[in-house]
Amino acid sequence: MSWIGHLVNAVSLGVVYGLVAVSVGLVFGVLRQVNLAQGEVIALGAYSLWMTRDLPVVVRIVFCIALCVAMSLVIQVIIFRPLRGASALTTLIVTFGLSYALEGVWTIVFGTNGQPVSMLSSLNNLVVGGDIGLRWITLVEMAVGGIFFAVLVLVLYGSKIGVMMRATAEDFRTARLVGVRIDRVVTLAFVFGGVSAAMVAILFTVQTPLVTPTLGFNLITLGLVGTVLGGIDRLGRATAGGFVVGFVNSLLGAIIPQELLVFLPMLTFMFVIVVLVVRPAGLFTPKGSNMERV
Amino acid sequence: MRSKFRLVAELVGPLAAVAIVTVYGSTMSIAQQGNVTNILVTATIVVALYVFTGNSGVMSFGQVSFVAVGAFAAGILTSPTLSRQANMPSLFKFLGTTQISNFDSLLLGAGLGALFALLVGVVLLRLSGLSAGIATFAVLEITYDVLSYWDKIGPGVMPVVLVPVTTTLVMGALGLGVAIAVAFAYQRTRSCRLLRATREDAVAAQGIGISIFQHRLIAFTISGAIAGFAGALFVHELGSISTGQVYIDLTFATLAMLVVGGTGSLWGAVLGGIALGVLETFLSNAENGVAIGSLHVTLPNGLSVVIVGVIMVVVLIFAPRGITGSHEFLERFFSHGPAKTGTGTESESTAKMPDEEPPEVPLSPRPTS
Amino acid sequence: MVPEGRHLFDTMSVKDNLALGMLARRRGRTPRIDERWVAELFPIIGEFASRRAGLLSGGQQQLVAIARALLSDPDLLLLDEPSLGLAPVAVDAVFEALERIRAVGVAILLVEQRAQRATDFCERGYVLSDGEIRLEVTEGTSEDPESLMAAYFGR
Repeated sequence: MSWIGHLVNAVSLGVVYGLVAVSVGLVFGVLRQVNLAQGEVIALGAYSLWMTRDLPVVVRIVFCIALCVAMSLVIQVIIFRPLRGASALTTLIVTFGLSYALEGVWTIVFGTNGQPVSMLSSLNNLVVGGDIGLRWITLVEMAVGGIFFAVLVLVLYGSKIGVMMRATAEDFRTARLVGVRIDRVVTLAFVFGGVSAAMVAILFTVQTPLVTPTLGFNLITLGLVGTVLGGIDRLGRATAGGFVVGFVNSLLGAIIPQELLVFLPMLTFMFVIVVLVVRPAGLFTPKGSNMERV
Repeated sequence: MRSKFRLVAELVGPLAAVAIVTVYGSTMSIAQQGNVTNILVTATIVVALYVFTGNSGVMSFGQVSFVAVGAFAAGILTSPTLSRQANMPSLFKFLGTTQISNFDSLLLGAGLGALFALLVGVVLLRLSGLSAGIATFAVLEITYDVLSYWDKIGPGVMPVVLVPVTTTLVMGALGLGVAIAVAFAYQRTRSCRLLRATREDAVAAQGIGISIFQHRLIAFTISGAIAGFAGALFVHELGSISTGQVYIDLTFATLAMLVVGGTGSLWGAVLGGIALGVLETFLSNAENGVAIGSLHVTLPNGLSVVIVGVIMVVVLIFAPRGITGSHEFLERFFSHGPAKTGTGTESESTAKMPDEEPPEVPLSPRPTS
Repeated sequence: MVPEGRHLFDTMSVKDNLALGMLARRRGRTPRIDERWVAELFPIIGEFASRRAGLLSGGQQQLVAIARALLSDPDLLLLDEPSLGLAPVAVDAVFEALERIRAVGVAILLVEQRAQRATDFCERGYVLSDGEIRLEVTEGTSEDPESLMAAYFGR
């Protein structure tokens, strides 16, 4: 495959991690807290596709989205409401614990070895063959990711709740002071988080049709890394960071020699450390900007 | 006088807990003794974690990397050279032929852990908060990846086997005792006090000329030494080691122990390590089937992880400073005891653990109503 | 309410800041103070409605903060140190605005370091220290700057 083909493929994973980063970034923006359990929302979404394997595709997609949104909201209520005002690290550790517990639940309920999910597998067929090797799923991902992000921007900049959301993200206390209903804003952030988790679940299982208990954790760790890398306090930057991590990971995987492939995680995380050391505030945060360092 | 007592209690309390567990453990069957030893070794890792995180207020997900390095170095260099030639043919020459005693391997583990921590710390410790968390997690991933696949320094995807087993119950207890003593001694140093000051208020501490970086680095290195030492203990307990045993599961388990016990105190680290260790051992036994009275119960595989995870979440939400409240052993007894008029103790204890939630301590949510 | 230090949403436009001010309006009541009234009061705000609030000068920001508070159509306007860190011209603008706000019948509670300025403006003024009233000034009484100083600095 040519380098164009690699680039095209890398976009695929970039979009997936971009979507993961959106859901992390949204919650962080509003609450200044980290939701690692978002990965388990994705996992539940993926398992739901297995549970509904005999139903029509549309039903499966709707069910997956509904379930992810519901779970996202449950996490909001039982974890984030009692922890309102806690530091980002506290929530990171709490949701780390929750993720681990849920991973145990998936193991018990769905088994250690994972469940095969066949879902829209025809999307893996080639649109353009040969050197480019463009698959339908890549186009779908770009479209879905683009539409979702456009909707998000429209809501944030064009609606009343969007203004409230941005105000909350910038200054939680003052936002409450002027009468923003914080609970609604937080709920909306978690709803969007749930929707994006569902989309990740669907897009990812189309390409990787095996759902294992560690799926969510694996996706969220790299997604969170990307979010912090890009600059977690700005949604656009966080999303771009997620995209970059997915993109770089996929590209490195394609270009390094086969026998060195096992060192891919090392290279990816080396890249992460270098970026964090050189640009602690994030890859896309302008140097010398007075943004508070997280 | 009172403050002397308090100081003694701070050291003796955790040591006494270790002694009780050890004595109780020695009455059990050999197999059960192995479990108790495992709890003690794991608690040693928690102490290592505490030395850095507890004193600096910076969360690290990378400390298990130092455990891994200590365990692999000690395991490889003490296993029989013949076994090494058979299982790890591509080792660097000196790794393939050098043979050291188990005792030396403990020191080597500590030394390598310290060295690795120092290197990592120089690069990463200017970060704090979330970035530090992510960066140390990256160190864990890198260490895991390299140890798993670079066959010049280890067995690759295979485990290190035939490591002489010398970490008995008593050795485990001694090891943990040493770690506690080191952590305690470190807490008495000026550097640690300054570090704690940076934890309470980083800006103010820098304002009076404290180098956050320098004191964090010292704590990180000592923590790395204890972690490497614990790794060596670990490998001599198990008799073999594979990378999966010193990776995310162990990171999660030790972190949960520290958090549940109370991040801010040595007593919390030891107590959390022992308490959760006992619970986890019981639960994983139960996953293989256990008799409660006349009832034979087999818990589903994975349930222990679920329960520990849930406990951690619940403790963090309802008691964010852990079950010890991040107080040292008997600290509250001494500072709120009858002789409350005493001056030295009072002010010292409040200076060390203010009731107010300090902004830099990561594990203390501040209610904004 | 106008908090000390203004607390505008710096990265958002002035327009958005003002829109947020209207959130706390009571329903089912025609507001005495609406957008038009505020626009008349502060014509200058209209000029930079689409600029980011963080880019305005301190004085301009203070006016936006007051405007934001006014748009909630309050019966009582609370201001904490509205002249803090402002240039003298900007202070004049702030007090001018306060005069006009009072004129439409909004009560004002003002906490202010510039004691002379504040007592000149107020109907009733109090110097508080350690939770106690040290000096009371009512409109019409000719305040003696000496005694005001004395009360203010607690001797």
